Amino acid sequence: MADLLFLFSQRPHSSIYPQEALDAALAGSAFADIAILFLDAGVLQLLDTKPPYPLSPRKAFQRGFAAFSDYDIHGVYCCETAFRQFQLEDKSLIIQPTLVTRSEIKTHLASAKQVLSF
Amino acid sequence: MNFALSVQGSPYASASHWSALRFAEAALTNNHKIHRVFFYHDAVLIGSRLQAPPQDETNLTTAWQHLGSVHELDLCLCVASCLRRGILDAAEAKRFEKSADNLASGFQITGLGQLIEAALVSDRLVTFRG
Repeated sequence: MADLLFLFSQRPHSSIYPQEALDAALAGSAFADIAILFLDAGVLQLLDTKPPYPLSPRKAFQRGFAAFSDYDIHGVYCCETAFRQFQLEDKSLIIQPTLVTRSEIKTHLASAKQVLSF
Repeated sequence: MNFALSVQGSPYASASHWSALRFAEAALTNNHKIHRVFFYHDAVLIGSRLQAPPQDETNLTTAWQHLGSVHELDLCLCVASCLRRGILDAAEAKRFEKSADNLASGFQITGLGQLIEAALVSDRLVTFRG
């Protein structure tokens, strides 16, 4: 199990928070074994969408997810309930996460050394 | 227990700093330790010494400074968050050729590594989102 579990729960383009959360996760991967869990509206970050206005010059920050394996980030999970709620089944995603049930989420939360919530 | 705090909300637009301050006071009163307080996202606005809230409201920057000096707390601001939002110490102001710096005393501008280190060495990381 991961030392640090990062929770990404905010939708992608309405604030800079998800982008700064990714920055924190990539920094964490340099020091520890980390995993990432997408939940709630954060699952929308998995779509390759651009903001309608340039909140940041790094427009589609989510494309950085494709580099997770280069950062040795292999545990990428997504809440199955939210995944279905936002109807992502048939969508093209930037990365394919492992879908996890609520009980599996509890296990991940309990077993990580620390949880970083964004 | 050794706690680390991650504070993310804007100082005067959310309850994030209030909650974190009350948690820190309670923890320290009960002989727990606080390894570090890391301010991220809009929470770094706490580091401006130019904030002047109405006199009948709590000055949150002063509140952190007071708690920090009494308990020798490590109050760290994320550098990337700071630069985006105009919180500069003397070195950053010089580097970006700005006319002034505004970092309040008792705070320091650091990297994200300080958040990760705090998460790894403390018993619990407690996050106060906006």
